[in-house]
Order: sequence, then structure tokens, then C-alpha cells
Amino acid sequence: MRVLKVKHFYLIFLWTLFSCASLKDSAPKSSEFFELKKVHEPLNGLKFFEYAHKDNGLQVFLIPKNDQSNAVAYVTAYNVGSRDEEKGRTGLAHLFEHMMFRETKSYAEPFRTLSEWGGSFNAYTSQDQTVYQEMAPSHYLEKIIHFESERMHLLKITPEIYQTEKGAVISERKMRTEDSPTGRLFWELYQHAFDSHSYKTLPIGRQEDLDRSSFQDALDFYKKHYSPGNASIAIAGDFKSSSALKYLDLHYGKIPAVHFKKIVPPKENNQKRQRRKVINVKGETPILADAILAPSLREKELAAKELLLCIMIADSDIGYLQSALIEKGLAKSVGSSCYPNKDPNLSIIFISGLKNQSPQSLEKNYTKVMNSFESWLTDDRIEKIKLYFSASQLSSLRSPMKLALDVATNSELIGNPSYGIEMLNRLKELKKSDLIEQLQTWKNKARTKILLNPSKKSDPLS
Amino acid sequence: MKSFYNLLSLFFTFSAFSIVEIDTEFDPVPLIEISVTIPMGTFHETPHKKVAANFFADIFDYGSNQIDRKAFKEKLAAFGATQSLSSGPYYTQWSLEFPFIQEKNYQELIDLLKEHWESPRFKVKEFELIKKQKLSGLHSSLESDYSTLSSSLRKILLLKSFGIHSANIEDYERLRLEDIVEHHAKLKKIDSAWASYLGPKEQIVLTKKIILEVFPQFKKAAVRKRKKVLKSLSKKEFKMKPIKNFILIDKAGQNQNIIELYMIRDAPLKKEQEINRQFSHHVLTDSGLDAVVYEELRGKSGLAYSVSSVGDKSLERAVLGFLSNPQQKKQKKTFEVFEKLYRKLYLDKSMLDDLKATQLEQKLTSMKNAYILQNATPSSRLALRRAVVTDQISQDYLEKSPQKWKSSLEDIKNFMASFQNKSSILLGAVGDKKNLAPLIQKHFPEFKIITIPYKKSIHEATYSSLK
Repeated sequence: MRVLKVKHFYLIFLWTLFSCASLKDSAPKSSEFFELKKVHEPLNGLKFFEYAHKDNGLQVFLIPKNDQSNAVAYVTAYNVGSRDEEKGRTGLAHLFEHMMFRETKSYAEPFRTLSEWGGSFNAYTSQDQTVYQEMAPSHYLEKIIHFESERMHLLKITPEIYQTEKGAVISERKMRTEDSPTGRLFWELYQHAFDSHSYKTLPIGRQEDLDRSSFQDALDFYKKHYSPGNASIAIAGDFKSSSALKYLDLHYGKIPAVHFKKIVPPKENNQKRQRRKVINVKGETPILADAILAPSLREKELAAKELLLCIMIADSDIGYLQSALIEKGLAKSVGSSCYPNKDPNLSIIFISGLKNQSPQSLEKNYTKVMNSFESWLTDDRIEKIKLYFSASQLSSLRSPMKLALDVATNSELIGNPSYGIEMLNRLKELKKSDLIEQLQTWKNKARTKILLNPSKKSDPLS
Repeated sequence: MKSFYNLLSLFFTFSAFSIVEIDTEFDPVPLIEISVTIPMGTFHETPHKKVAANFFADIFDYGSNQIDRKAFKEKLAAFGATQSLSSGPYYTQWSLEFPFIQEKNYQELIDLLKEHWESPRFKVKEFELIKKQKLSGLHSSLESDYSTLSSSLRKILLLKSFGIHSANIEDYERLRLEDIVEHHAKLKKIDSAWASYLGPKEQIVLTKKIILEVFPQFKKAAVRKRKKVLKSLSKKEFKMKPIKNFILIDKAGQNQNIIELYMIRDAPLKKEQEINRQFSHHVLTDSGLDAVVYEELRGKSGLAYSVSSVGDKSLERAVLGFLSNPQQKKQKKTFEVFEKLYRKLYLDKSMLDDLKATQLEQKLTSMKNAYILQNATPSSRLALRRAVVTDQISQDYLEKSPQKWKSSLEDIKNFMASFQNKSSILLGAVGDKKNLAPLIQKHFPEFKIITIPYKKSIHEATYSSLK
């Protein structure tokens, strides 16, 4: 019995030690180069830690999940997208994403190295940012940090590599924009909807700009935008914060700050006229896109209303158009793209028609059914769709990669890593009256409509 | 004393068969995901009626006896909930997901689910509609030579030994609504199951309530302790006569042929062989463009189109296969390559001779890392534990840290030798018999050729060829 008591005391002592260690480990206040800025808890029990480099401006989010999975997700979001490109130099942000998979000082073949780590790796360029992601067993964390830090400042850029990747981008452009009806639809939509803002040209860039771009352009782009003050890193999964900070110190600590003035894209004037364009594209079915200029991420309340309205109208599973058009055989499929951006950007509804249907008949059906949308919008339906949307968003937060992506990208987009989760809470509060009000705004706004007319030959690209 | 033991054993039998064990992964995100895996699937059905389980999963989606599909989904949507049912060879799996909102009264949701499980929509209208859709799908799958050949090969290999086979047009034509009702009645009598819960820790109480009320066949729900051994839910028998056949589906006027090799071992594997089996498949077919069979087919032989491979994950069915679909001008070359691969794999066993130790080490590392990442999310961890109770992987494999996995070239070769010596091998092709038969005789003289005429009742013809 005595032994048991001693044993219990010993266990309590160990447990206390462990608790203190894990508490301390979960959030060291600082390291040689990083300081803890804030502890975030956007959901009960979901905690993460925001660190900032003392000099070079790099932001780091640590999301340790003591789940013994032995896996980590690593995301680096650079605050550079096609919005930051100057007129006549479009496509550089995306071209650079390709360059980032080439040689660094210590890694001659990054593709092979990443594959050997067993991890999944990916990257994408949007209008607002460029994002790199890796998933690997936890014991590779230091290697990932080393590799990503080299990509940030020790990438080998040669004229030969630049030419090879430029060729690859030009092929990709042909395949995904010129020859794909969906790619073509989005390209034309942005070209017609915007007058002055750099959102006008999608990340793939204009052909003539890609042709004209030089090795020096690429080099300048890298030195400026791929700098620590222009990036946020998020690490989620099974790791110790103290070890992660140690490796971050070692590999990112001494990277110097880069000071440069960001280009502010020209403001898009409020559009006053309706824009509508019918374009002949090789294919079999018509497609219609209907877009308005929607509020930016900063206009939080309005952005939430527009997002929910767009989901209610055009969600591909349970939106209004699914029952009003698709289930009645008046169109083939419906979809939407309405998450807000840094600046006011398009909130888009797109509908694919049936084989042999004319784009005009598709447009007529769409306009007609939209007249009855308001009567379909009941409190009950609004609540159901809010729950449905919450479930899909919450489910994605369970994946360490999606969580890291959410945190890093929102940090770079709007300076708030919890923005995605806060948006869910904002949606929860919205009522029918909010949506009716937003619907009036949506109806009254000048819109851009693109109709793809299936034909044997495609019109030239805008 | 004997009767005391009988009573004791009866007590344990009763207890064991009325408990549903809930495996858990706790996560702060307020979303509840529950699944219940009941050990009854296509394997437990009578021969020639092996579509009732799949059909039941389809009709279950059409609402309850009281309310139709649309109204049922609307009611579920009031809770943000989605429910699904699927069937596999050895089990039927029910799943539910909903965001947890405190102020809701969940009794209404429970009653809705309970009513649905007790009385699904067994109506002639829905039954006929699904049957029509299934038959139409099967008829159109016959347009694909690949699926025709694949299902024929698997049917011939698996029908007599495992009771697993893909559905037949004839099976669906024979099916009656009463068969589905009978299947459902049997399913409701199964009173042992494995369940999983993913969500905030506090909601485990609600989860137990949901499971016990929706499935009254379970008397008690208990949370499974982490270290407790996962019990297999299925019992299987293995009876297979090793065969070496070439199945030729005779279809004239083809520009492109399909050719496939499929091997299966006829006896259960020992648990200690599992790492070697997984590794040998990884090396041969599963490691993407670097895999040895891929390299032979694509890199060395230039058969760089539609080459794919099969490496079955199931513990007791070690399967290896690969296929290609050459155009007619490359037909001869493909037969030569397949013969070479067959000889290197099966006869002289030299397939892995060129592999260097460093390459092998890299492949083992990438397999270990891939396994770790497979476990990165709580749902994937639960899915792996489900794979143990449904006998797809062993508990040893689940629990042993991948860092401790060991396998050498010698181990893989030994495994492959034991695998090959007890295997059945089927080769198959779809194409014009006139062109293909001489090639088969030349390259695979030891194989018995079974010709099946290409026609709409190809599945029935496959059966006939077995008799």
C-alpha cells in the first residue's frame, strides 16, 4: 500500500512536470529570432500561436496537434499574386511558381527530394497570393524548413531554367485557357468585367507579356517578392513548438529584411453599364457566367452577406438554381465562385447548358427562374444552407494541411489568420432580411455576362 | 460444473454479441461524424443473389416508408446532417455527419434516423427505378472493353473462393423486392458491430444515445480502449484450385486491344509476411513511375499509354496484376513484353535482380512515409482501424511503427517465390480471336485458352466458362 502511495506521488510529480513542460512547449514566449505575438483560439479547444521575426518581418503560425500522427503540414503563403503585376508584365507571379520547383543551393532536384520524403507537395498562384504546401512525416520538419528557407533566398535562377519554365507556362496557358471552355470563360469574364484593376488579367498572364518578359524581370521579381517580410508560414500537425522554433531560428533567422514599395493596383471605378458578350468556342454545350463586383475581405459584413447569398443561389448541391434549373432539366450544372478577395472582385455564378441548347435559351431560363428566387428564400432554407455550409467548412479544418492553409493564407490576405473561422460565425448570424437587402444590391449592380456559344471554330482570345 | 461453464459461455456470448464498440478520435471542431460497421456484406449472400447488399444501400438513399427521398433529405438538412449507407464484401457501413449546435433538440433527428433504419422505402416504384438505373449502367459498362475484361478475370478468380464479384446483368434481372426486404431483416439481426466517433470529447454521450436508439439490436455501447485488440468482424474461407488460363474475349474489328495479367495467391498470408507483401507490391507496381513493372512497360518497352497496375491491399488476398491497351500495330510487341514480364516474375524470378540496395532502401523509406501521411487526419486513422476489423490489414501492421518496418531484397524475393508457387494466374485479352489466338499460343503455350464470345450477356458467358 505504501509502495502504491509512493508510486502515485511519483506519477503525480511526473504528470505535473509533463504538464508544465507541455504548457511551456506549446508556446515558448520567444526564441533567438522570433517573439510570440498572440495566442489565437478561434474555436473552443483549437489553439494556435502567432510568432513574428524580430527584424525581417516573417510571420509564423504554429498549430501543434498532439495527435501522435507523426505528420506535419507546412504552408508558406507569399503576399504576391497577379494583382501585384504591372501592366505589360503579366504572368510573372505564376511563372515564378514554376521556377520555385527548380534547384536551390542544397537541393539539386526538389521534386525527387520531396517525393523521397514521402510527402505530398503542391503550389498555386491566385490573384492575391502564391502558396507553397508540403505534407511530410514529422521527422522531416527540419529538412522542410531548410528547403523552404532556401527557396526563399537561395533559389538558383539561370537564363536556361527561366526559358524552360517560360515554355512550360506557355503550353499550360494554351491547354488551360485557350483550349478549355471553362478556362476561356473565366479569362473572358475578367477581361470584360475590369477596366483598370490588375484583377483584369488572370495569373496565367497575357501571351504577348510572357513572350516579352526577360530573365532580368524574373530575377527582380524574385528578389523583391520572395522575401521574409512578404510571407507567412503555418505549421500544423504533430510537432513540438520549441523544436520548430529552433529550426526556424537556424534557417530563417539570418535572412535579411527586404524593403520595397508595393504597387497599389489602380482602383476599379464603379461600373455603371451592363456588359454582355457572346463568344464562339469549340465545344458542345453553352456556358453562361453572370458576375457582379463584390465587396472585399475588409468589408466583413457585406462580404459575408454576398457570400451567403451566392451560396443560396448557386451552390452546386443545394442552391436555388439546382432545384429551379438542374432538377427541372433546364440546364446541366451550376456552380459559383464568390469568396471575397483583397480588393473588390467578382462574385460569379456559372451555368452549363444542355447539348444543343442555345446560350440565349440558357440565359432566358436563368433570368426567368431568378424572378422567383425571393419567394424561395425562407427562414427555414436559410438555416439549412447555413448548417450545410458550416459542416463542409468545419470538416476541412480537421485536416492539418487545410488548417495550415486557412491560417497562412488569411494572415497574408487580410492580416487575420482566423478570418475563415470568423466568417463562419458571421454567416451564422445572418437573417432573411440581410439576404433580401443583399439581393436588391445584387440585382441593381451593373453586371458582366459572358455566354459561350458552342461552335466548330473558336473566336480569338480577348 | 459443465453447466456452469455453459451458462458462463452463454453470458459472454450474449454480452459480446450485443455490444457495439465505439472507436474514438477526439477533435475540438464542433462537427460530429459517426459510423457503424455491421459485419454483413455481399460475401454473406447466396450465390447468384449477390446484389441484394448493394441494392439495399441504394434503396436506403430513397427515404423511409413514411417520407420520400426529397422530404427525408430536407428533414435531415434541418440539422445540417448527411447520412449514407454503403456495402462492401464483408460489411455494411452506416455513416452520419452533422455540425453540433447546442440549442438543437437532437431527439427529433434520432427519431428520424431510427424510423428510417427500421423501415426503409421498400416500394415497387423506387425498386424498379433503381433496377432500371443499375441495368442501364451495366449495359453501358459493356461498351468498355477494359471493364468487361477486368470483371471477367476477377469473376473467374474470385467467384468460387471468396464470394466477391461485381454485379451481373442477369443478377439484377433476377432480383425481386422481397430479396431486399429479406436482406434488411437479416441485417437488423446482426448484433455485433464496430463503430467510430470523431468529434468533441463531450459529445460521446450523445453518440452512444444515437447508436443505441437507431440500432436497437445493440444492447450496449462502449468506448473502445485504445490498446484493446481490434476484433475481426468477418470470417472467410479460402478454397481455390490454382489455374493458368488465358481468357480471350472475342471481339472482331478492334483497333485497340486490352491485355491484362492477374495473379492471386490461394492461401491466407501469415501476419509476419504482411510488410513483405506490402513492400513487394510497392516495389513492383505501387510506387508510381518508379515501380519496377511500370519501368519495364513504359520506360524499357515504350508502351507508354494506359499502362496501369493492380496491387490489392487486402490481407488475405495477395493480388498482383498489370494491364496495357496497345494499338494493333503494337500488339505483337505487347505480347512479347508480357511474356517477358511473366517469365521474369513467375518462372525465372529475375524481376528484381537489377534493383540496387540504395534504390530498395529509398523505396522502403517512401513507403513508410506514405503510410505515416495516410494517418495524418483523424478520419484516416479511424479508417485504418476499420480496415483491421474488416480484415484488410492486420493489427500488427496498424500498430507497428513504420520506422521499425524491415524488409530486404531477399525477403521480397522469398515472399514472391511463395506467392508465385501457390498462385492462380489469369491472362486476358479483348480482341479479334483470329489475330490473338496465334499470339497466345506462341507466347503462353502452357495456358489453357478459354474463348468467350463478345456479346451483351458477357457476364453470363463468363459463368458458363467456369462450368
